[in-house]
Amino acid sequence: MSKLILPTAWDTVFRSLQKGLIQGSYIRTVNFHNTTVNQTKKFESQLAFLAKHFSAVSEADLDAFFETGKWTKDKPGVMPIYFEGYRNNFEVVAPLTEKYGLTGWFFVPSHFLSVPVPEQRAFAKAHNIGLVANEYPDGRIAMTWDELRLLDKKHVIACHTKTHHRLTKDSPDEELRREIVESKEELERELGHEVSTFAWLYGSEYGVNPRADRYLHEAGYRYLLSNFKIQRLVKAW
Amino acid sequence: MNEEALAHFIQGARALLSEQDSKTLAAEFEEHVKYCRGRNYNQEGIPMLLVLEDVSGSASPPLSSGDPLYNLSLVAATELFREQLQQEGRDLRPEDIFSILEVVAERYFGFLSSHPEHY
Repeated sequence: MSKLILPTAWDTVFRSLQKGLIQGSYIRTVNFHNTTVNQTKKFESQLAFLAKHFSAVSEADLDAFFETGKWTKDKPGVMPIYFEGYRNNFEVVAPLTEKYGLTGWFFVPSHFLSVPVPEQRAFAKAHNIGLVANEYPDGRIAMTWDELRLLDKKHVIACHTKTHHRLTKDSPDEELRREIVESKEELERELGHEVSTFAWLYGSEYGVNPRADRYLHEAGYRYLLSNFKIQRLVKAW
Repeated sequence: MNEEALAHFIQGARALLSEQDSKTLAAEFEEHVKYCRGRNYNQEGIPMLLVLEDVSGSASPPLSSGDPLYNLSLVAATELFREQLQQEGRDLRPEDIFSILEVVAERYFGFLSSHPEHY
């Protein structure tokens, strides 16, 4: 069975994407997961390239783009996206992202950060969080809440469900509440401010499960990031 | 988007491409797909293009950015690559949309990025 679920027919989704591209209603992203120290050079040249040709994108930049219909920065926007809340995201690429003046978007499954260190690898394995062998002698692979708070000062922290969860058309309400609402509450409690952007494991978009959409609205998310789109759920201003 | 106009545009682009160019493009597309599928998604940065869509129900202006001809080229590329996948004679899967977009992103990520330094 396909891991990706489309909200409508293939052609309808594809045409909607073409429509966005032809209008210039799109943004560039580079999606990262594990960012291990042995690849630092490669990540640095990639981020240097992005910084040379593109502009940083904050949530406020997205808000302004949606509100005005115009991208006003002199270069097109690019979002380096770091998924899963890995320790190596904090230690390896966050400093490089800052060095080159870009804004990182850190999508975190909130519960991963609270899993005790000895259990983190087992949790990752059980929840489709990719692992790298023998990376850290102390066994800690998730960033800490303190590290996330440091990132929060310069980057965007977004919710990637509570347990790295995949949406289906039949996902029960208790799962939806846990993954959409509880994760947001947990992140906001730890960060001390609102978290506005959400993404599912395997990037389901709006319309795949209308009950999930209702929970996203009720929780107060502003953006849903999916495999092919960033969808604005509610006006910012 | 005027779909009829887009279809004409694609047909025109097809007609303007020589047989050799079409073959070259098809071969390059296959190479790019292979390259993209061979990447380690767990440990590499994967370029992508994400379309912005307002589902809030509030009135908002249409979003536009970039060079219109470059944007048109992106759409032409997605269409040509889709045709190529259809020629494989199987039903298109959701993953194929991902393949098309990641190949287009890999190949045409930046308008200026392939220009000479002095541009």
